[in-house]
Amino acid sequence: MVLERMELAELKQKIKEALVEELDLEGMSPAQIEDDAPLFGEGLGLDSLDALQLAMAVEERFGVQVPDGDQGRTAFASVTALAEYIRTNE
Amino acid sequence: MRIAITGLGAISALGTGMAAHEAALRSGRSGIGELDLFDTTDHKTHLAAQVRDLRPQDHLGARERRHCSRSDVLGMIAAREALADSSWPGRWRPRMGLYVGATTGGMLESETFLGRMRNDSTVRVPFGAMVSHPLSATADRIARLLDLTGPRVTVCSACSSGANAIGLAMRAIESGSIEVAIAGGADALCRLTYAGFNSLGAVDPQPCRPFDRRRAGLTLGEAGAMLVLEPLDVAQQRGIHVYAVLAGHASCSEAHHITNPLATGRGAARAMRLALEDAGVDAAAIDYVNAHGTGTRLNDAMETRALNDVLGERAAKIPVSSSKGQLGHTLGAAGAIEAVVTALALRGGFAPPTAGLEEPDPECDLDHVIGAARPHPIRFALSTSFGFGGNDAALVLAAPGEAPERRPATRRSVVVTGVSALVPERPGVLAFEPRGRLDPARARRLDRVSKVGCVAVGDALAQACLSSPADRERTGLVLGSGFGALEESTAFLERLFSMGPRLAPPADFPNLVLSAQAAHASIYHGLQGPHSTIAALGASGDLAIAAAWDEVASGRLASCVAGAIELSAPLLGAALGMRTTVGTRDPHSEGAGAIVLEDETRARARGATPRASLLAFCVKGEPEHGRGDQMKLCANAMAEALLGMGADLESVRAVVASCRRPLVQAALDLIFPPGHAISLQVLSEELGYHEALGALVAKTAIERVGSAGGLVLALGLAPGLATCLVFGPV
Repeated sequence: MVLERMELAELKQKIKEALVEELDLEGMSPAQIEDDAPLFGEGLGLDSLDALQLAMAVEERFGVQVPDGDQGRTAFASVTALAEYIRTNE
Repeated sequence: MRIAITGLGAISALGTGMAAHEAALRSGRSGIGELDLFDTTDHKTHLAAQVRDLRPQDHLGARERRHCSRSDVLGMIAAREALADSSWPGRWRPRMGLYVGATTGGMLESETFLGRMRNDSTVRVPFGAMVSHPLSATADRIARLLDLTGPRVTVCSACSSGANAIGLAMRAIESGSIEVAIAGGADALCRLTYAGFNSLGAVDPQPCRPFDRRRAGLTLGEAGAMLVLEPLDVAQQRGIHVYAVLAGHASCSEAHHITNPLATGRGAARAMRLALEDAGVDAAAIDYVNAHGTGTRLNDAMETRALNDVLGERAAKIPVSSSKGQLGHTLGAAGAIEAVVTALALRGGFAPPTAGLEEPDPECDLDHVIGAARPHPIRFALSTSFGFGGNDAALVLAAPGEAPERRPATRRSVVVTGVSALVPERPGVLAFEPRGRLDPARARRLDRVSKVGCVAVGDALAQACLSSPADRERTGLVLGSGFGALEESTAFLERLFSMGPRLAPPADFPNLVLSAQAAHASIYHGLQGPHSTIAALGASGDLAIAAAWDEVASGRLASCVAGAIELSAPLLGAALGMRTTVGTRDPHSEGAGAIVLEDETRARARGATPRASLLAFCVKGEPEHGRGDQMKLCANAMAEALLGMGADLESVRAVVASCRRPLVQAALDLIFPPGHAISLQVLSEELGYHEALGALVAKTAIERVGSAGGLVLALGLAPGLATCLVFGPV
């Protein structure tokens, strides 16, 4: 159990790093992104072009495809949601 | 004045020539099929509106097709057809301008040699691939083919390039700087745009279905399309057939987002209204619309809203079609080939269909033409084009007997109210630190070249104190660049080859089109006038300033920023650079510069400080791409610019040139009387050489006006082109 949680924490950390690097969130560090904060709209202020870039990055870094539409929107709700999506679809 | 369309030429997936196109437009036959120009196995989609069995040797002689890219060939075939169609006699060329809209240039060929260089570092870049890479190469090849010695301008505003090339040509005829123009666009398919649009999820895996409820994106296409424009009275004197009158054009920026249009359609509607205003035509008179209609979810819904807004209740009763169901989205050629379609429809009295459309989307509640063409007499037609970066353009075409006389604009006096420059301390790499100069959150999508551009434009605007949103709403932006985001394009292609096209980075793709730096600067600084980028190698900045000058002098804009950016790039840049300069031995460098041009009356009214007046401009071309006498070109450009404004040669105090001192000195010796002291400053000796020097030459000339006590000339040089801007005291 402990090991699994550690891995999940590591996965979330990797997702945050991907967010900062892929979306050029200059001046922001991965630690500043909260696990459950919404990524799009109000949260980080990301838009549809960021969603596309993020989907590409998730496929490249984690080998998981994120489809367009509702399923993609759910996966991109927050760092936690994305980590869970990657876990489920690995 | 009325501007007549007297010649048409086109090559596309529908065939070559007007007969093939008109037959296909009437039947609704689609040109979309499997793409076989390159391997699409690893791409997300596999269709395109490709020109099938293109054999250059069937159209062009061995000498004519030397060193030509596929885009060049498409442009040349269309231009030759259009010129022949207009029956202009053989050798009458100096007052014939050439205006080409483009986005891909020689990219397809560059991809091929880049792919080879990756596997074998000893591969030498073929000379033809080098000289055909720049976006301006197509115009150079057309000039060579048709022996054109007038101005030649390559304009990029992404997917509205073709429409804006036609607009530029119309303005040039109207201002009297040329009498006839060949104008249009040419773009070939390539891996970069194919993977790029796919990465954005913007491509329908099936043939595109504009305005359909099931639509899922665009289908890419390729084409060359050209129109011959001339004053209607000239055409009538020549007794030549007139397809239609080009009644109006407008272009404006949304200053909103690099890929997404304003969902309300407000930007698109503004371009349509400005074009109708330019034409002096009421919205109620429009009886056919050739829509941009790409088939993407966003565009078609947005465009429908805009049409409903502009045309009101009549929108539902006016036939609308998108030709992209047949032609695909031909990017830089789209606005041009759709103008050709609109002219054919107007002349033939029919509304072409939207191929692929079966179930109109209730969100797109317009009078769609489905299946085959509908007989429909047309008096006034609207053709729209929208590009990346919120670049909206519209053309109004009219039946020859219906077109209103265009009101001649009073020429305004134009002053410079701000200048900026970013140059390295020594020739070489520009040490550029965006921190503290750009808002990191708003600039996060910008690559290095766009950041440099944004700062150069921002510095010039700041010096001009042009800061209120109301001022910026009527401010345009024209940048010049020989190669644009070359380093970023190379990196994108490298990644395409190493990771495969499915992992093409969507956020990077929209930055690669030549107009991206202008688009980003327009968005960042809230400039809502038109924005575009002019490509002409070493004369890019000079021609950008000239285009901006005309926008302000004609009264269309109160102010317009003009400038140029050129950064070097490893690999592709090194391979290309050595053959595309104009013979200077000065080291390669990087740099950017911008100036703010403004209506003098407006500048004074708001208390701005005019630094100099921009009094005249002249561009001279020769078709042999630099093999002709460049010195005489230079001399002619200077002499004609001065004569045109009625200036005395004695009043010239200084000349600032970009490069090649001996050549420029010889030109000065030729036109100025012996003993007349003129100070010649050659910037490449101080700053090194790059294609954006034109903007820095202009800035230097402006700064010297104060102390010179007379006129200062800014001289630009590119292979086969010479330009001269005349600055004077306010």
